[in-house]
Amino acid sequence: MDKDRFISIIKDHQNLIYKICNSYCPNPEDRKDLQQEIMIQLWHSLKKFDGRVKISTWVYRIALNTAISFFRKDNRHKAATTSLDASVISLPDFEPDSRQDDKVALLYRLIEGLNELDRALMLLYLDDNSYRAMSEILGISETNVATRISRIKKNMRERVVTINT
Amino acid sequence: MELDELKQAWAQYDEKLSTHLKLNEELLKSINFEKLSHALRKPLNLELLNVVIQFFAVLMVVVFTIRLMNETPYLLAGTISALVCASSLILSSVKASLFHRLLNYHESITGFQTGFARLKILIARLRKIEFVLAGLIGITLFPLMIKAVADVDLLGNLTIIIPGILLVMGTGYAIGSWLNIFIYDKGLEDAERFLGIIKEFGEEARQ
Repeated sequence: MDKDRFISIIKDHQNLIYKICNSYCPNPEDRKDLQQEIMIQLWHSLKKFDGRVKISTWVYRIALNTAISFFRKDNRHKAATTSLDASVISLPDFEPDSRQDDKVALLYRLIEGLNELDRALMLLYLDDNSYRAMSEILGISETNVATRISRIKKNMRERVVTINT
Repeated sequence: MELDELKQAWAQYDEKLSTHLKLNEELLKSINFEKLSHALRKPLNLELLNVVIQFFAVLMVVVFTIRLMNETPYLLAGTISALVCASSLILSSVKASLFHRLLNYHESITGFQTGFARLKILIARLRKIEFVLAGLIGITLFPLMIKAVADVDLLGNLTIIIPGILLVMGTGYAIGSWLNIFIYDKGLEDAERFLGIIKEFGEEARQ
C-alpha cells in the first residue's frame, strides 16, 4: 500500500472530511475522534478500492458511513475510545470553533437538527452532488433521495424563516 | 435569508477551507498507535481483573480450607483448589505483565511485532492449561464453598454434586468463552490490524 497515495487522497478530500466531521460532531473532542475513525476506515478500504466509482464518491461513502455509525454510537462507547490531543485536519486560523461565518454557522445549526441520514443528504446537496451521485454514495434509490431532499429543503426553508423572524 | 443564499455561502466556505485547511501528516501516522494501545488495553484490563479476582479466590479458599481442615475430603479439595487458583493467578500476572511491557515498548515496530507474536503464542498455549485449571477449580471450589457457606456436604452426595459441578462449569466456560472471543481475542485482532497498518506506514512514525 502506498502511503503517499493515501496522504494525497486525504489532502485532496480534506474539505469534505472536515465538513462531515463538523456536521456530525458539534463537540471538538468528538470531531477529532471522528476524523481519526474516518482516516482508519479510509486506509482499510483503500486496498479494496477498484476504481469503479470516482474517488470522491468513494471517500464520501466511507466518510459518511463512518460518521453515521459514529453518530449512532452511545456516549458511553464514545467516552471509551482514545482521544487525540490534536486534529488531523485543522483550520489553524479559525480553531477551536471554525464555524464563525454567520451563514455557515446557521447552516451547521440547521444540519445539526437533522437525523443522521438527512445530515448526509444535506451535505451532499450543499456540495452540489447530483441525485444519482447521492444515491450511489448512500446506497438508497434516486427516488428516495429526491423525496428526502425535497422534504429537507422544505423543512430548512421553514426553519430559516423562523430564525429570520 | 434564502436557502440558495446559504448554499452560496457554503460554496465560499468550501473555497476558504481549500486555502486554509492543514493536514497534520505526522498525526495521521500516529493515529494507529493510539488505536493499537487502545486495542491492547482491553485484554490487559481483563487480565488485571483476573489477577484481582484470583487473588481474592486464593484468600477465600485458604480461609475455607483452614476452617474445614478436620474433614479430609475438604482439606484435599481446598488444597487442590488453592493450588489451582494460585497457578491461575500466576498465569494472569505473567500475561498482564507482558501486555504492560508491550504497551510501554517504544523502540521499533519489528521489535514490537516480535513481542506481540510471542505473546500471542504464549496466550494460545496458556489457554489450554487455563481450560483444565478452570475445570479443576469448578470441581474442587464448588463443594468447598457450599460446605463452608451453607454447611451442605456435597462431596458425600454424588447425585447433587455432579449436576451442580456441571452447571457451574458450563456457566463458567460459557462466560469465559464469551469474554475470550468478544473482548480478549477481539482486542488482539484489532491490535494486529493496527500493527499491520503501522508497519505499512513505515517505522519512522513510531520514533
